[in-house]
Amino acid sequence: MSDPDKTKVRVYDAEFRIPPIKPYLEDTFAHLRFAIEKAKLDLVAANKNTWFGQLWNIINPFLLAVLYWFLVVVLFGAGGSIFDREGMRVLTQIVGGLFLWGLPSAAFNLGARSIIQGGSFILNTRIPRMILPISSVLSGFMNFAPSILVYLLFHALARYPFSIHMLWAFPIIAIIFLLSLGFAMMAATGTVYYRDLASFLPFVSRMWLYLTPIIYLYTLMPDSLSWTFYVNPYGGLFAAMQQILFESSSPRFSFILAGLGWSIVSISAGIMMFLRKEREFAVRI
Amino acid sequence: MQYESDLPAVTVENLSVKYRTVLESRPTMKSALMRLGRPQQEVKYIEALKDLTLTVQPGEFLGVIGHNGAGKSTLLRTIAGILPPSSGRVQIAGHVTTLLSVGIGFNSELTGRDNIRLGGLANGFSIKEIAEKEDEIAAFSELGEFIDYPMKTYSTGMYSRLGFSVVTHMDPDILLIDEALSAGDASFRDKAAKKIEDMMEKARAIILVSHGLQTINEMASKCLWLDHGKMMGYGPCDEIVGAYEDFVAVGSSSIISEEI
Ligand SMILES: Nc1ncnc2c1ncn2[C@@H]1O[C@H](COP(=O)(O)OP(=O)(O)O)[C@@H](O)[C@H]1O
Ligand SMILES: [Mg+2]
Repeated sequence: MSDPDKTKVRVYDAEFRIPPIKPYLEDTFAHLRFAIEKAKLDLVAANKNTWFGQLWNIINPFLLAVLYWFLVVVLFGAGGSIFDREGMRVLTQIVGGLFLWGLPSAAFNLGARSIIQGGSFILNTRIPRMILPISSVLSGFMNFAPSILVYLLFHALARYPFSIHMLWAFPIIAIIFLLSLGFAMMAATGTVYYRDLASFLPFVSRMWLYLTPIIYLYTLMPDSLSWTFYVNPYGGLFAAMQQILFESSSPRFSFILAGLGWSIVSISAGIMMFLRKEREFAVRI
Repeated sequence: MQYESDLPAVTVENLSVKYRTVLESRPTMKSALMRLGRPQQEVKYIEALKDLTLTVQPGEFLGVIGHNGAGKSTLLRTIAGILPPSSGRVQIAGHVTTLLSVGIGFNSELTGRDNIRLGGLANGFSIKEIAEKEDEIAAFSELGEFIDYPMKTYSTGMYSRLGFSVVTHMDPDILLIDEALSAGDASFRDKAAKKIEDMMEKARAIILVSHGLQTINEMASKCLWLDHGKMMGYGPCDEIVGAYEDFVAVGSSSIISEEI
């Protein structure tokens, strides 16, 4: 049996401030299959797995992209229309970025609510609660994955070359996933203490989106502000994504390194914050 | 089995559990800001269990009785590792599954079958093992085609029938059941009682909370009577149940009205 539960003597002692970290993480790892299944079923429950639900996932960022494209290209006169290659490229850049922002967005929305909405789960099962924010970010990932194909279609229509450097997308997405997971744990913990965080965080997420090179190219950032790619945990990663997709080049290494550094900070801080408070969740919900 | 077999299944030592409630129903950032410079918000601690010590030996069946709010559910949740002790400790040797009054219900938008799968995964079974058990669980719950309907369409009885079926099929060493037998109709109640008896042979220990004094008296090998978080009696069932009945009969009418 994979459940460590079955072979161990468990002790719950008032002396323990936080659960012992190593067994806790092992226990969490052993329940990963549960997290995946829950993420999948939560999407089913939200009707996201129907044909129309899936379609909506793709149409929604697409409509947003058209809106931003309209602002950027038409109103601010960056030139071009969707009917020429330049316009199509701008649209492709925005679409790709917005699809990928689905991961951070899941962390700040679903992740933040994962504990406060976990009511009966929290009160009736002993599974490590960390499974809940993990499952939220997994839901975000499952929403995002099919949109990769749609992106590739745009990529082709905009006549961007398919270069070998695009394979960098895999590690970059993995780092963005970890980064978001850390934020999801922090957001979930914070929301238990301040319920209105759940309505505040989507606003943060939206602001963060504007500060990250998504609806504009990272090259548009003035040199005097280029440090923001290292200060904004998502900044360098999304910039690197633009390099591999739109410049057919390898990503600037310092961007990846900064993102990796931030994701380690985010995951460690997220785990520590979550574990320090998780014992209180059951008595506070 | 890999645990040391001479350990008691459940050891509870000087256990106290406090709930912390803030007299302000939803804690928000706004209220935290508004509070700046003013006295602290009012925090109330409810001591749901007070200095409880008991052991459940392998093979034992502990019945827990007491009026509403006595701390019975709190005791089960603490033994299950869901609530942290405020002081004292709990030691468990074996695989615990819990059937608390709310049932399984991971997501009521999902079908009963989906919830069986989640329940199985939560208890450490593989997808394959669950697939093998799934039909048996569904049949035991007597839900018929409702097993493939969202759980939000279930009645309370159906909800707890499914919950009972899931946990009793999870091969627990230690089974914790909170007032589950009271749900469902008479025929299901009989079947559930029989299932629990079957499980007694395999399980290391059972702790059952019930208002049915008759059931407790017939099934349990030992009884615990809680009142306002304190142990009022602990020992052979006919003794404890008798004392409790006397207490309820003689006691103030407030206890009886609370029961209703
Ligand atoms: N989540 C909670 N927050 C605050 N107090 C609670 C909570 N759950 C139970 N209590 C209090 O703890 C005491 C014991 O409750 P409980 O264990 O549910 O009793 P029982 O199951 O015997 O009816 C009661 O006074 C109840 O009001
Ligand atoms: Mg109760």
